[in-house]
Amino acid sequence: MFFGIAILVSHRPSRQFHTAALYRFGNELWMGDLQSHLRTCRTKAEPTESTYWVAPDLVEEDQRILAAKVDAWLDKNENKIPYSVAHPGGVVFRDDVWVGDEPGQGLTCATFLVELFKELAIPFIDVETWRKRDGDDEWAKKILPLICASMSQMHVDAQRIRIGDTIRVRPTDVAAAGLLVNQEMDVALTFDQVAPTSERVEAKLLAE
Amino acid sequence: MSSLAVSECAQLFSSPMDSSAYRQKIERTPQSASQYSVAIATLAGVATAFVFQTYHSKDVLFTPGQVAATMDTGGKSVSIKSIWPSTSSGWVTRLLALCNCGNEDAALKEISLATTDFKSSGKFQQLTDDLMRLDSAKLPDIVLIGLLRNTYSVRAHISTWGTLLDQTEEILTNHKKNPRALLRGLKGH
Repeated sequence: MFFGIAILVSHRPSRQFHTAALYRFGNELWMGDLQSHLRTCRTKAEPTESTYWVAPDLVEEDQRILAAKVDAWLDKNENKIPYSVAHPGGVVFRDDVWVGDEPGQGLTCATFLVELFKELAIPFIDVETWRKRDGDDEWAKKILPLICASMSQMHVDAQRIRIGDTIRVRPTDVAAAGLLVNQEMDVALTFDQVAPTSERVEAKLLAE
Repeated sequence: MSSLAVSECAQLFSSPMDSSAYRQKIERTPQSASQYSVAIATLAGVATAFVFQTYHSKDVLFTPGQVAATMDTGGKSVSIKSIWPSTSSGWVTRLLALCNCGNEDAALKEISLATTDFKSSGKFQQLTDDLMRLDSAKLPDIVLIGLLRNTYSVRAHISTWGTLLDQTEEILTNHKKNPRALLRGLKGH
């Protein structure tokens, strides 16, 4: 296994999940992710009973290319990627380097991984098909105050205005897509394909 | 697919392990039809020492530029134009050295870092020239695929990208591999 998707319940009472890339590079096992606003992280994978992982059905070549790419991204974009609960859409990375300087632009732990697959043209999640679900707006309203201390007021305001108008790819969506992708897929998974499995992943992890 | 959910989400590590555990490989081993666990196997005695060889491109110095020659072959004039490769870019030198010593993962990262710089600077002609300079037939298959995937987003700026894709497909076929699986997403298979 060279590339997997890790998922954990980061705060059970608020049903908050976190996802990260779990990858092998240089004969070491790493976790790489976007943790918060302007905070990327790459650490050696630590033993934990709370972290689960999914091994996507990808050819070894794609796994190794993904692993090298995420490692390079974390080199090139260390602590440079804004977090946003209400990304307005459009360019976030341009040619592997973060360029989303418009207030409100940013990624989440989940969209960080979605963008990784997209940049390499490995079919994964088709964000264009995503739809709003119950709880999405509430999540954004709840999370934003918790992380806004490190954000500029303009960035916070731009997100707040857009809550309700943007879609949310959940960490469990990414884990579910990791379970559903396969080597025969020529196009990315749609919302309708992913959402039911995502619900089951969420329920199962919360029940653990 | 109803039984997938988390039944195939393996718990990462089920017990604490010391730091040396991470020189080990992680595998997913089916225990039953619906349950997977993580098996950690020590790669005993595998101490991989890669010797990074310096690539002495200075020994073979090409003159950049275009050479044109006209030959008279019995009434028929044949014109030949060729472009000599310039001195290899640093990243190409490093890439070839990494491929030569079998460190494909480091080669893949070198590709990612180098293409990021090219794309950021907009130096697509240099990137195109460097890609042309590489001998596809001598590169590992995964490196060819890595070159294509890492340049996919700017393929419109690389005049030879389609040629590289075609060459790679042919090479993979010759190597008895499945180009459709390995190149999916890159072309309309």
